[in-house]
Amino acid sequence: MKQIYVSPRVAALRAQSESTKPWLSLERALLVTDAYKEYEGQVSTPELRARTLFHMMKHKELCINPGELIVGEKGHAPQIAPTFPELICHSVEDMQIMDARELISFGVIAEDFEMQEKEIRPYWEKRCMRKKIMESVSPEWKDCYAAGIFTEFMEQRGPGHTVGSEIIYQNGFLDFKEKIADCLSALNYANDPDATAKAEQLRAMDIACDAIIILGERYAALALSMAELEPDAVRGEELRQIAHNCSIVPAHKPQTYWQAIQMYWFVHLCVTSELNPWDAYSPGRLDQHLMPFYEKGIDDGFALELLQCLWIKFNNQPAPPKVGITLKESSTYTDFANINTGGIKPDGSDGVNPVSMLILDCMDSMRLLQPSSNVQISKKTPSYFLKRALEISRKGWGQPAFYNTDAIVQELLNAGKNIDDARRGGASGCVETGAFGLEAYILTGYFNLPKILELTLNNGYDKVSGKQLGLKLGYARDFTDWTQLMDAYKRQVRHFVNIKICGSNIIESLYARYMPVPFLSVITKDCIASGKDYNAGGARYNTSYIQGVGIGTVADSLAAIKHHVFDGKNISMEELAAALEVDFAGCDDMRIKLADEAPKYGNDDDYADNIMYEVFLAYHNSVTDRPNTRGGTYRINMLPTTCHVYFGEVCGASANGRRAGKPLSEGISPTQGADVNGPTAAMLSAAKMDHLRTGGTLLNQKFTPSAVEGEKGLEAMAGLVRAYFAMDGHHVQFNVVDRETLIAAQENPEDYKDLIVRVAGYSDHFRNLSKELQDEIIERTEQAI
Amino acid sequence: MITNIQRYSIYDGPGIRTTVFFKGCPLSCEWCHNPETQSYEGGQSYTPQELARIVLRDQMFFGETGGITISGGEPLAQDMEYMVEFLSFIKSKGIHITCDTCGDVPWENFEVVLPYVDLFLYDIKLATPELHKQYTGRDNQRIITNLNQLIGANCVRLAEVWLRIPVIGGVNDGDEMAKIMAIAPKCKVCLLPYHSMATGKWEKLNKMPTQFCTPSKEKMTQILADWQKAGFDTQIGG
Repeated sequence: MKQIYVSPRVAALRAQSESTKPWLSLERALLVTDAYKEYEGQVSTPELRARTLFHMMKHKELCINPGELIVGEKGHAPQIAPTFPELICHSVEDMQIMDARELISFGVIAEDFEMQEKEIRPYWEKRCMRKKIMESVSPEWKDCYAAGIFTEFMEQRGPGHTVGSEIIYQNGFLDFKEKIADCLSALNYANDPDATAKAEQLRAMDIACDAIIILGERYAALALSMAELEPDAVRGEELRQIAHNCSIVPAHKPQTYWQAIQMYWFVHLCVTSELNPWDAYSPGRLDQHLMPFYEKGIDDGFALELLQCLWIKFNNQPAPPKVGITLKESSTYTDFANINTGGIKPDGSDGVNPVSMLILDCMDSMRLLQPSSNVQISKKTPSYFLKRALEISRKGWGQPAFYNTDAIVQELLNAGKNIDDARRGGASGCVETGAFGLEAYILTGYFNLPKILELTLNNGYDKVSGKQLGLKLGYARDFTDWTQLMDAYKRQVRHFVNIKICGSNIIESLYARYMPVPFLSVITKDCIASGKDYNAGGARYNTSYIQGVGIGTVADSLAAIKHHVFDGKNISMEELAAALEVDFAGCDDMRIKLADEAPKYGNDDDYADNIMYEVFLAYHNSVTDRPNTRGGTYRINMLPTTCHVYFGEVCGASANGRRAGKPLSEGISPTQGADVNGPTAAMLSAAKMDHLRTGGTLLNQKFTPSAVEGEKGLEAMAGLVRAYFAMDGHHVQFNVVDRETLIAAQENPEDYKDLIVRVAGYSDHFRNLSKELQDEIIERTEQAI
Repeated sequence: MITNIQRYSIYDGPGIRTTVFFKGCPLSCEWCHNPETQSYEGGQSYTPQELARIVLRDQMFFGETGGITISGGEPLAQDMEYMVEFLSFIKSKGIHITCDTCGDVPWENFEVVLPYVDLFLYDIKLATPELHKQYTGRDNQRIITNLNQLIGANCVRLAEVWLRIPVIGGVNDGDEMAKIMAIAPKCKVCLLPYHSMATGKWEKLNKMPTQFCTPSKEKMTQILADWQKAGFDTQIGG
C-alpha cells in the first residue's frame, strides 16, 4: 500500500479542520447591510453588488492559521459559515433550529440572535430574493412546490454551478481591469441601445476586480506584520513568502505553482462571498492549470504539501446554512466543489500529467469530504492512472468518483458547444456537465418522477396535500391498456414540467435584475466582451438544468403494473389502487407479488429497462431544448443529492411494492435491492438510458470489500469502469463497505466517527446522515462474489 | 444441464467472466464447494444458441482479458456435441474461453474442445492414487495422463494450462503437496485454500458435509514459497 507523507503542519491543519464545529457568522450579513444602506438607490444594481463585495473584502476580518501556506477564509476562522440575507433572511427561529438541530447544525452565538432581529431582519425581510420569488411565482407553482413535485434551488441559494478555467492563471486582475476598460471605451452609444446597461455592468466588473485586489493587499500586509512578530525563523520566512505571493496575486498573474494555488483560492473566496452560487465554485481541471507552473520546477513533496493545504481550505468552508425543503434536498455540509483530474486536453490528447498523480496522492492522504474529488477517464487514459484512482476508491470512502470524459464531450457537443470548449469541460457539483469557465449551467431543482405516477393514477389529485395539482385524465381504473396509462403519465409529466419552467423563468429574471454577480462575470468568458452579467446570460453558454429523481422507482412501478395488470391480468387496477391507498395494509400478498414477481430495472432485462427508457425519454422530451431567459435552454440531468429521501417522504405507496414515505431510488441506480444479477447487469441496464442526451447521470455501486480485493479485484473494477464508459455511461462511483459495518455504525456512531460513505455525487460522514438516508444506503444492493 | 450462470465472475480465469456451471461430475470430492453440481440430475436446459445469447450479454465487460468459463460439475463430461456447438459459436465472436476441469474424462472430450478453449484450469487434488480414490471416489490415473497429453506438443492447438490445487488442511497440505509438485508439469499454479462456505449447500442437499480444516495463512505462504522455489509461477487464489 502506498504511504504518503503528511507533514506535521498539514496534519495539524487537517485536525483543526475536522474537529472544529461549524458556526454561523453574521459578519457578511452586516457588511452587506452597511453597503446596501450606503449605496442602494444611488448607483446601478450591478455597481451596488460590486461595491458590496468591495466593502466586504475591505472590511472583513482576515485569518492566517498557524502553519498554513495558502491563506484566506470566508469567515474569521475555519468552519465559519456566512449568511446571505439578500437571498434569504433567516428568522430567529431559523437560527435556533440551525443551532439546535442534530444534523448539519451550525452554532450561533447568543448576541447574533439579537443582531439578526435588530440589524438584519428589518432591512432584508421584505427585500430578500426568497420573498421576491414567492411573491412572483404562481399559486399552482407554490402548491406543487409544497407538495414535493419539484424543489427550487434558487429559493435560498444563488444561481450557481460554474467552474474556473485557465484564465485566472494567465491574467491578474489588473489585466482584467484593462480588458474591461477597453470594452468600456469601445461602447457604441450611438448604435447600441444596450450601451448604457453594458457600461453599468462593466463598471461593476471593474469594481469587483478592485475587491479581490484589496483582499490580496490586506493579506500581504497581514502576513508581513505577522512575520515581523514571528519568533520562529522558518515560519517567519514562510510568512514573508506568503506576503510576497499575496503582493503578486491576485493583482498580477501567478509566477509560481504556490502563487497559482493562492490565486485560485482568492478567486474562490470572492466567488463564494459575492453570492452563494450552489454548487460552489471549483477550480475544475486543476492538474492542467497547475502543470505549467509545476514544469517551471518544484519539489514533488512541496507541490503535494501545497495541494494538501488547498484541500484543507476547501474543507474549512461548510456550505451555507440551509433550512426547510432546501435542507432536505441537500442535507450536507458539503459545498460540492468538485475537482476534475485526468481526462483530456483541449487538443484532445490524454490529460494525465504528474500533477494528476499528485492530486490523487493528495486525495488519498487527506481523506476529506471537501473538495469532492473525481477523476475523468477517457479511452486514452492510461491504466496506471485509472488503477491508482481505483486503489483510493476501493478504500471505501467514496472518492474519487469516476466520470466518462468521452461521454461528457459528446454531451457538450450535443448541447451546442464547439469541440474546443467541450474538451475544456467536465462535471461539477455531483455529476453535472458543463463547459468550465464558459458556461452558467444552473441547477433549478429536482423533479419527482414517481410522484407524478401517483398523481396519474389518481386523476391528478394529490391526497397528501389534498389538492388537484395535475390534469384530470382519469383514475387508475380508467386506464384499460398500457398505452393509455403511459400517455397519461407523459402528459402529466409535461404539465408539471411546464409549471416548473414557468417558475424558473420568473426566478431567473429576478436574479438577472436584482442579483448580478460582477465578480463571477469577470472570470466567466464572454461576460466582459458582451457587457452582460453571468446571471443575465453573459456567459458563452447558458443552460438551466432540471434534475430527475426516482427513475428506478417509477420504472419498476410501471413494470409491475404492466406485468401484473395488463399482461398477466392477475391484479386489477382497482385492486392495485385500493392497496396503494392503504399502503398495502392487509395486502401483503399483493405487495410481495409486485415487489418480487415483476421485472425490475437493473437486471439487464429489456422488459423493465425499456420502460425506464420510455420514462426517461418522456422526461427528456418535456424539458430539453426549451428556451430559458438567458439565451440558453433547459436540459436534464439525473441525480438526487439527498432529495430521493425527501421525495420519498411525500409519496404514498408505489406499485413496485415500496411503502409510503420510504426513500425513492437514487440517481439512475436501480431500486435498492432490486438488481440481483450483479454489477455487470446493473450497468448494462443503466447504459440503456441515453446518457449523451443528458447533462449528467449518477450511478452508485456498492461492493463488499472482499468483492474488490487484491489485484484481481482492482482489475475487475477497472474492467467495469471501462466497459460502462464504452457504453456511454456518464458516471459511476463506488461504496466499498459491508452491510455489517454500516449497521454497526448506525448503532454505535461514536465508534465509527470516521466512517465516510458515498451518498450521491458526494461523500459524507455516515454519522451526518439522517436515519432514513442511512437506511437507504444500507438497503442498496451489495455486490458480492 | 446447467445449475447456474454467474456473471461478474472474477475468480474463474482472467478478467471479468461469465461462468456456466454444468451439472454432473465423475468425481465426488468430499470438499466440493459446488456439491449441487455433482449429480447429473436436474438443472435447467438451454439450446446452445440460447446459452450463447445469455453468456454474451456481458460481452462489453470481457475486454481483452475476460470471457466465458465453462465449469461445473465437469464441463467435459457433458454432451460434447452440444458443448462444441456452444463453444464454436462463442469462439466465432472472438471471446476468450476458459475450461475449468477435473481432468477425469475421456481424452477425446479434450480433443473436441481444444480448437476453442484458450485456457484450461486443470485441477490436481492429490498425487497418491489411493488417497485420490479415498477422497474423490476415483483414482487419478486418467487425470495425470490427460494432463501430460494436454501439455504435450501433439495438441492441434496449444491452449494455456493453469494447475489449480485446492489446499485442504490435513489432506494435502503436508507430504502430499511435495508429491503433487513432483508430478506437476511446468505451468502456472493457483493454490486455492479450502473454505467451509459450501457447508450450507451440502445441508440443502440433505448431506452431511465432511469438515476439513482451512489451511492457515502461514501454511499457505509456506506452500506458495515451496512452489515458487521449485520454479513454478504460483499464486494464491485465481
